[in-house]
Amino acid sequence: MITAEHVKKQFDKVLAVDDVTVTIKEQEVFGLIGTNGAGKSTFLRMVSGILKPDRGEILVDERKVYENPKAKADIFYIPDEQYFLPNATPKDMARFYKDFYPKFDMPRFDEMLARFQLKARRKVNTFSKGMKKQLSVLLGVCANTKYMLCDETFDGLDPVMRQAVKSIFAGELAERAFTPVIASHNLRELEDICDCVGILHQGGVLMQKDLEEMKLNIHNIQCVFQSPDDERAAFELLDIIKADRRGSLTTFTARGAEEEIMLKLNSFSPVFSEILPLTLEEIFISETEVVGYDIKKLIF
Amino acid sequence: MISKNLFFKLIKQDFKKRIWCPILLFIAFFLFLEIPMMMRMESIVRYPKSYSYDIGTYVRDYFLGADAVIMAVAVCAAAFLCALSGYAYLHTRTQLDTYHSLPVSRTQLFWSKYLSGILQFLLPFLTHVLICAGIAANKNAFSMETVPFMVSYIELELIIFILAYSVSIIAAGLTGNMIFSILGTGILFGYSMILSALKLAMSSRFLKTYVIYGSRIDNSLIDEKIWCFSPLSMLIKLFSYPGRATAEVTDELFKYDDTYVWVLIAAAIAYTLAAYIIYLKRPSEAAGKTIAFPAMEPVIKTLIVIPASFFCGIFFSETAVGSDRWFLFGLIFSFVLLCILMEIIFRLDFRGLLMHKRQFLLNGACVMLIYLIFRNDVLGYDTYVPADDQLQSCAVSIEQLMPLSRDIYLENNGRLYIGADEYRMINMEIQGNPSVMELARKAAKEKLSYRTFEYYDGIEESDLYIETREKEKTYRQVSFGYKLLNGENIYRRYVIDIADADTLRLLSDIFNDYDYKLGSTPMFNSGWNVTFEAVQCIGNFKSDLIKLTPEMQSRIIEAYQSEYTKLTLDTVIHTIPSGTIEFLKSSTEQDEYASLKSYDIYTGRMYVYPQFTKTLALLKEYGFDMEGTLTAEDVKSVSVTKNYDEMHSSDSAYSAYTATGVWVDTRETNAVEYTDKGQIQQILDNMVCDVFSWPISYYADFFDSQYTIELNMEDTKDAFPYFHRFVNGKKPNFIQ
Repeated sequence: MITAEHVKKQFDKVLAVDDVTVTIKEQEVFGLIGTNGAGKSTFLRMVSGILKPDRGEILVDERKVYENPKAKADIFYIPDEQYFLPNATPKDMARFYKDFYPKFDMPRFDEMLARFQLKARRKVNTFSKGMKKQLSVLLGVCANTKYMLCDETFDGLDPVMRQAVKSIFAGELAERAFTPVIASHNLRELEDICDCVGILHQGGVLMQKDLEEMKLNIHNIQCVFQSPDDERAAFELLDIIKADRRGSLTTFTARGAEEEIMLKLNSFSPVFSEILPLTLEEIFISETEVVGYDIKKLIF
Repeated sequence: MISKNLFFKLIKQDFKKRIWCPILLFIAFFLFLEIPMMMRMESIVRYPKSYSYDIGTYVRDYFLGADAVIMAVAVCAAAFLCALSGYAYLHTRTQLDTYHSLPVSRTQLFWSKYLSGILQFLLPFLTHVLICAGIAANKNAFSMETVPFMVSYIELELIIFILAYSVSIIAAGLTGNMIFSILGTGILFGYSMILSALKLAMSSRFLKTYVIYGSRIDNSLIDEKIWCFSPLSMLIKLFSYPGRATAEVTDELFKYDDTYVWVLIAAAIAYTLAAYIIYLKRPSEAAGKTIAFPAMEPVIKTLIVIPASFFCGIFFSETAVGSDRWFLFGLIFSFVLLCILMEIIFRLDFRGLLMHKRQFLLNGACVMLIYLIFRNDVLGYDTYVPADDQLQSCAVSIEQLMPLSRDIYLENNGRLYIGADEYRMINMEIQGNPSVMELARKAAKEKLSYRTFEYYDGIEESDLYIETREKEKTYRQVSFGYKLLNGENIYRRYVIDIADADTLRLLSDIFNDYDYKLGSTPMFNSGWNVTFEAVQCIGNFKSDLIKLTPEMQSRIIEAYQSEYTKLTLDTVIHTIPSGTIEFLKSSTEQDEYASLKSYDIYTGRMYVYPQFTKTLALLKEYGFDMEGTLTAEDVKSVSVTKNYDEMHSSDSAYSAYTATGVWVDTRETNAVEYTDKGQIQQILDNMVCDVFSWPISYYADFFDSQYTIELNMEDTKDAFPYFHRFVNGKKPNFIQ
């Protein structure tokens, strides 16, 4: 488990990360969302032991990570712009990492290179940006570390490759202790892979939620009430986050279990009612609007 | 977790990553080692007469000895390359993120790169040195005797490498990008040298009694009072002659100061540890910034801006012929400009030029304070004279007072010499003569100095100029070296006025002192142990070279020394010398074309006065009559040239030179040839040889500088190569 408590990092006069407290549980995919400059990369660089927090503490499995090779041995960090040795081939890079990560799985690396159609003996500096990203992910996966920190790794991957990478992650999660932390400025990228999401904004964590829990606890309902009085009464009973009415059709987002909401709604015998599927984006819009932010301005 | 295995893997990785570096060094060392060695060896074989040594001696004493200084330059360049290429990753975020996210401690990372850098230098260097040894062995120029020289050569260059290497790593660690790393390396490499040079320039500019000698006294450019913490200062000290070197020391083929190597080793260790600590403490976010530690920014700015401002002030002042106004302008202008420039450099942005106003004001105050301290001699440098009870002995050099040459040659292919002043400061030890300190105190109290004028057309006509120059005609310079009981040496150069009877009395007391005479020339010290080949004698009308045997040499030196030590200043002032003698050694550097026999001069010309009867008699015995005269019958004609006022024309020429940059000598000549035997005889009776008259003219004003006399002999084999002057007040009436 990775825990960050009241972590702060300032660069000159810029407060990059301000009082961030996050817990990343094992065996879940953690998404770190935020606009450019929100502090995602700084946070990941602190978690990977590159930067030392000015204040607060970051523990990886209850071990301090900064200047602690033992803790760092469980982390593989893929920066937004990965460094490859001059004139290195994928094979050279694998050998490079194998020196640091003894569990590096070389046969699997070869196999995955073939699967991703990356040539083992081709120089990395001739690769496209997307190919370099794929290679970074493959190196990270084959390093067999417990934690993998990916900074904007999915940006630049084509949809097919993105799906392939996601399937690798899923496979790893199923097979071994594996906890990827994926930072992105695009919520949609993470929607179908993350178990838990934290939103960073202007250096601070806006919120951290378990996606399943959120999905189960927030619903979008479309219905036609018999009268405006029924609508008013129903809204008083429900934990409404937002509501919109077009003609007689009312669409609202409410917090609570599906059965509980429907039971309360049906007590007013609406002319029509149905639960609409909510995207992760919509959930976040709703959640953050409650705390006074216009999420659309933050991350979309 | 981190095993030794990983450490060696890190070294291997780093070596592989920058394999270009040892390859480049391999090529460079080939050009610096094998090529010059083979060229020199070929030259020695082809022209053996041109060299005083054979191939074996060359390899041992020069290639692996004296030439180490040339190699040191290449080694320093190699150190910069290895350090900056190894630690450049600190300046690039992508590389830094990768390396610092790896499960390896900074300690391991630092030392692996450190050792890798050393290996990248050492492997090609060792290979080439061994190849050189092989080449020498092939030519039978390498023996077991050479092995210790080779080992110490490798050790020395390795120490120099580590010193320069660790300083470059410090620069890389303190800065955030490559350009500033290179600049930082340059500054760190020579900062103490820069401070010494600044101290020298400021002292010369503002302190009237400040005096600097060559590299062999501890107040030279490598100032021991400024801690030589920079590698450049250390290397210059290492390869310079040890302080207070004697003629015997400099006669030996110089290699390097063995004792100072330990200082280099200590410095290399200290810098390495400093580099390591900086590396550990360096924040990773510093990549790309100007400076890695923001807290150091004001310190670095101050350390750069203040000395640089003073250098600019000196530059402006020197451009404007020593003007104080221009110094101040240059100082203030460059200070403001540099402060702004530093803000731009540190911020890499034009905005915020006037940030840190408090620091600006503080630095400005420091600059003004330093300026005022020097300008007004607040610390009392010029007036300081040590108390008698602090003093061990004193050295005095009365400048422009012969007999002594200006420079004393110490043999090393005839190239090395030290000034007479410097020689005396090293070798003279006057004790128990109260006149010495009395004169020093008098001179320090009077604070006399030659006035510097800002020249303009017509300045020579101004009353102030004429009055000042007239007053300064009796000014003379005297240097003092105070050797204190605590081991410190203090040097001062005062201006005295010999028109002051009391001053002249004190000066005479010093000149007449036996210790002054003994310490003023190497002839009476180490000269006794030198074998001279000849003595060059110059009289009023003839000159000759007397070949010496050891016995002749000993007799002449003995006679001269006994008479010279009794010479008084009064005699010097009032007596026209009979001539000069000059002891010569055969040159160690053979003339390549072997057409001329060349000599090294040991002491310069030493004066022989009519009172030196023993010396004159000995010279006569050996075939040179110094007091011999010419008659009109020996001379075909005499050419007399009238020179216009030299002082006046010289100043005019200088004035024109400062304005136009072109030196135009405005003196005119109007030579008149005299063939009448009667007139020639009158001229011959009243003239003195220029060659031994002008060097003592500051004290013995016995010749008329307005006329130059040239003799045209009847017999060309009697031709005398020197000019003559009329004795003061004895110019024949027919001379216009």
